[in-house]
Amino acid sequence: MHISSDQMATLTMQRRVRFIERLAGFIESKTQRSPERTALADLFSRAMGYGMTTEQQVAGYITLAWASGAHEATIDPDWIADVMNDPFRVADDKVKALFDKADRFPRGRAAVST
Amino acid sequence: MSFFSDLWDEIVNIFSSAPATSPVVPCAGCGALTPEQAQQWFDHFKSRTDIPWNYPNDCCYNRAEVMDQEMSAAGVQAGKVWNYAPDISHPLRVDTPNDPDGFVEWGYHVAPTVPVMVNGVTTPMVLDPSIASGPVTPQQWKDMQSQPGSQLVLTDATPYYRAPDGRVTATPDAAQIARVFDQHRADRAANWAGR
Repeated sequence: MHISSDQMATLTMQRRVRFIERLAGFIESKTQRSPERTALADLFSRAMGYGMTTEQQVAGYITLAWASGAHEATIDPDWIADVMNDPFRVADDKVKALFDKADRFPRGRAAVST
Repeated sequence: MSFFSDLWDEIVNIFSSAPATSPVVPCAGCGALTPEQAQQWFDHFKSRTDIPWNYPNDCCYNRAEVMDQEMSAAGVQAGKVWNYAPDISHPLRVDTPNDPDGFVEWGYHVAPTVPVMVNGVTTPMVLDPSIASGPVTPQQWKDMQSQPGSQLVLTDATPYYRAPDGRVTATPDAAQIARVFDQHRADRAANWAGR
């Protein structure tokens, strides 16, 4: 069975919307705040620009970026941008490095709560 | 464990490793080799005379690269597995007849992996003719290097060299890769000279 490029574009958009909904639910469960879908969509585009491709990579980046307030600015804070723009890391390592960095922050600075 | 490590673990459990946008999701097991095919690739590489298998002292990154390039060109979803010694005083160690001392020690080692389907389950298997006689699991491969404290990392085929902190080095072109093999053949000859 073949599908047209229009059908592929529609399926891609549907998958993206469903993913953002799932991610919004996850972030809300962690922060007790409901993220705006447009903010997550903007961060999603940023994630693609950084070379993130898998659900885990995109979700990891967006969760930390949103919790850091990155969606309220046009660029990411330095601690995120430095890692995500590092040409010597593959995508999986970028996300892992972000979480390692977040773990080293003084307690209470991170915006995500248990 | 710390808060963000736990958060990352949750994300890995909830979200998949499939593309976040593409509706084309690879089916589990698609592209996996049979154990026989994995052994055929292993035997094929072992017979490649341009690869200096008898110089275990160095060259693993170059060997892994050329094997991955050939398998990727053939449509095999090859990857790499990296094993890092915990520190300089606790190196990886492998006994070998290919060094006058009878053993070699490394700070790290790398080899290609291929997905292999066994009893309906796909698992990565390591192809490393420099130290094994056939495909082995990553854990078996790690155990062969006699360093319980070492760290195993699986990646895709991309990194030519990957440092323990995740930084990678760009892949050189084919001519440079061939020169590395030439250099290591010369290094082997020098290593045995007068011994």
